[in-house]
Amino acid sequence: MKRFTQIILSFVLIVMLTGCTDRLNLEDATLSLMVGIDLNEKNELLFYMTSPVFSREAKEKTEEYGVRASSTRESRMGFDEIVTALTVSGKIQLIVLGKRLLQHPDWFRLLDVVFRDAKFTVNARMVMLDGSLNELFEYKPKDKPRLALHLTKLIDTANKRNLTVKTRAQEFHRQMFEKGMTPHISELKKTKHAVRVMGTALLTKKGVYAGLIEPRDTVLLQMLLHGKQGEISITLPVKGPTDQNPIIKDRVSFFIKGVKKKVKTTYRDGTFHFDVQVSLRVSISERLFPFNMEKDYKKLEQMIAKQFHKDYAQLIKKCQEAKTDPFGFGLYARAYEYKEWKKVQDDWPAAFAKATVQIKPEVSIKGNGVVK
Amino acid sequence: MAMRGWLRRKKTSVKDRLSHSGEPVRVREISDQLSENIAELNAIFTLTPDLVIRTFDSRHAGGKVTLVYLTGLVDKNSINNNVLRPLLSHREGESSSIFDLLSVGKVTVVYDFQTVENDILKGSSVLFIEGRKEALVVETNGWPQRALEDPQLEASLKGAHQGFVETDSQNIALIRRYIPNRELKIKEIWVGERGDTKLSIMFLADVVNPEVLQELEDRLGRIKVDSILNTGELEEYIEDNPYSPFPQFITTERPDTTASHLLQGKIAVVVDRSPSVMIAPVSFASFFQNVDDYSIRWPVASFIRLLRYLAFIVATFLPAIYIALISFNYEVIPLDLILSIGESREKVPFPPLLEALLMELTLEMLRESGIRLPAPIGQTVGIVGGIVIGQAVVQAGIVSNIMVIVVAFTAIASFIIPNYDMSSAVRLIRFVMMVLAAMFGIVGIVVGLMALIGHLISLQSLGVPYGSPLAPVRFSDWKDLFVRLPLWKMLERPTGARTVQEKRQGDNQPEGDAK
Repeated sequence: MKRFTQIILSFVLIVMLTGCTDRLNLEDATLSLMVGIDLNEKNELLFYMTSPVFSREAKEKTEEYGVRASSTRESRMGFDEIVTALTVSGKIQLIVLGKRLLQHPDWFRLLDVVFRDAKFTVNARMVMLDGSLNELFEYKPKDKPRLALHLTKLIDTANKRNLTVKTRAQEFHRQMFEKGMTPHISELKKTKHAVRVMGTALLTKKGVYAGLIEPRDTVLLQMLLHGKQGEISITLPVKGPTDQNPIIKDRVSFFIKGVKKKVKTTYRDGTFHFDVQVSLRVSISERLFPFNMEKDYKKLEQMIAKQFHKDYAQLIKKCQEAKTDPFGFGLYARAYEYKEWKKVQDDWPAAFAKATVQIKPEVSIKGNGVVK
Repeated sequence: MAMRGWLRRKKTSVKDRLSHSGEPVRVREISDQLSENIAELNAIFTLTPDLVIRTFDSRHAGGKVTLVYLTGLVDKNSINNNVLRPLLSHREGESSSIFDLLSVGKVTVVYDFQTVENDILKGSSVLFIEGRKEALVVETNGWPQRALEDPQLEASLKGAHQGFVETDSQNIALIRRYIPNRELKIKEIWVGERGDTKLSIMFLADVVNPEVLQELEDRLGRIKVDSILNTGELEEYIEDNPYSPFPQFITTERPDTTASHLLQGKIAVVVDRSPSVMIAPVSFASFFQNVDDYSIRWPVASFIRLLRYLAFIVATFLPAIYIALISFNYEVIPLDLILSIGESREKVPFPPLLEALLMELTLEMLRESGIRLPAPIGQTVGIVGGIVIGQAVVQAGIVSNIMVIVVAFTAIASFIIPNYDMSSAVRLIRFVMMVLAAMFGIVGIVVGLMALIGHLISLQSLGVPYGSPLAPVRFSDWKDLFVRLPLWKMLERPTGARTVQEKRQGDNQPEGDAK
């Protein structure tokens, strides 16, 4: 009988426990899917947010607002004053940063709450917008799903074809604090009829915008960073042996089936030297000029390798001029030339700008398509 | 405190009543005068119109003979052909002993009315003979009986299609058909002051653990009740943990299941008048086994076994997880799913717990109402339930689509668990989990899970650990736990029942053509 009383008593205790303090039912939450931070002309911080609205009576399926605030957390208060329910940040898919904001160093401190508050997601994709955030958040395409979902998918799929990078907040945090590399995020632009992936935005160590890598160069960057990831399709101009055709240019396209990268790091004459051996296995997918593959495939391999070499040299020069190292060569410097690295570690981008990088592509054609 | 007092009062009152009926009855001996005996019988059986007292002249017996029986409890053919005919149509020159004339298997001689009364009540007929201070009890039992049928609760695809009936002798016979072995022993115990139920404890004497058997006998012997009407009642009096939601014995209505358990060294208790047999000791895992598992191919059986465990988890936790996710932890739901959940919940006016309780309770009601209805009306319940649950509730915006899916999943999952008692336990635990989830989110579910596991590990069945072979770990028994390995791999009996003889079979691995 004592036991019976105990059971009843503990049951009553459990029922009366107040453990529901942090409960927030789904219908009481406004899930922000995309947030944006920008500066206006008077250099005041603007925060934007868009979230889905679940109501049959509402004509629009999303709501979006912008508020003026001094910090991200403070902006939440502003949002809570206007949005339907309570703003929650656990499902943010995109953090959009305005170009104006990225021209100021140390803006990264604004994202402190993202990493400090455990309820904030660190899986949001970091995006830079070339243009006004207001325009993007107001944009309601008729032929697309909710804007935030559309952009998420846009970036994810563009990343699958290596047109842009996919940098999540956690990864961005690493890139900011890693001394041996500089951060790089996706860049979007709102055009008249669509939102367009522009490529990859290069940021300096302080987070200042330093330049754009176009999609076709992003492919090269991605290959150096991750090897073969997703589908890599490249079209290159190659000098064909025949006379010029006015409409059809001499182009060859191919899939990259495998990438092998070998970096040799040395330090001589006061600079770092990186010799990068990239061996690529390719499979031709399109060829717009006649070519005797059986006889001259070695020649084509060399032509492609040459073109690669040229493109890589350009890309690296561009990054060096912008004082950025999105490739993470600093990691190799630290691994192989630690003594010298130690001297320059606090300003690696400057040291990288002086370094010599030699990319030696080696192409072997493994496939020629299903035609003869 | 008031409640405790009330319960105690109730308990003592039962004791009082028992002691009344248990007080020594005066022993009346059988008289040599028939008329006195008849008078005594009439005094014992007042208001008993189904009592038949037939007095007739039997030349053989040298005088009058009285036959007494209860008309519904005896086999009329047996009375007419084997008792009355030889006594009435006795010819000269035949054997003169009345004992030899009765062509019935079991005839006993008794001397007192107490025994006579008991035997008549149990369906025997009693023969009083003029001038003798004894009576013959003739076994002519033949009460209304049901034919052997397919077991209702435990239908099987490939197993036998005979289920137990309400007569214990038949049930014992059904079991004996599977184990015609002299080591299959039966101990009889009578329980119940008024109902006087015969319990037959069946076991394989050279396999069963004597301590476990002794424990069962002790517990059965301690029962002091009016009557045991069903095996389920018996279970409740001898359980190890009476407060647990989990069944600690298996009740089965299948003779082949019983035989299989007996061969594993367990004990079966056949309860007279009940169509189910109690098996002890059992473990948690045995509720997920089924006779069919052993007659279908072992990879398939293993898959189904795993499916059942999965179903157990789904049936226990799915609604709770749903509640926790949409009221605390929606960060873990994938984006597309959370949007569709959000859309389907837009019109729902209730918080998730209420929504879930509403649907779960509706489901339980439908289930419960379907059980007792005759089949033609039962179908209506299904249709009404299907339409109400599946369509109208969602369209009216009372419950969300996703909730309906969750409830449907849960219901299906709880039907997969082969044992009814276990699936009922799951039904109950589900509600506790739902409340915990609504109060504490995932943390609450984890706390509930820990408590559940702790409880399962601490449970015992007849002193044998309930969690075996998982806790304590006995790897040799894992061959028949989550997967069922080929039968020829199970060389030993499961250790769960602590058998004294362990070898089950020799090396039977088929060699096939390839040597």
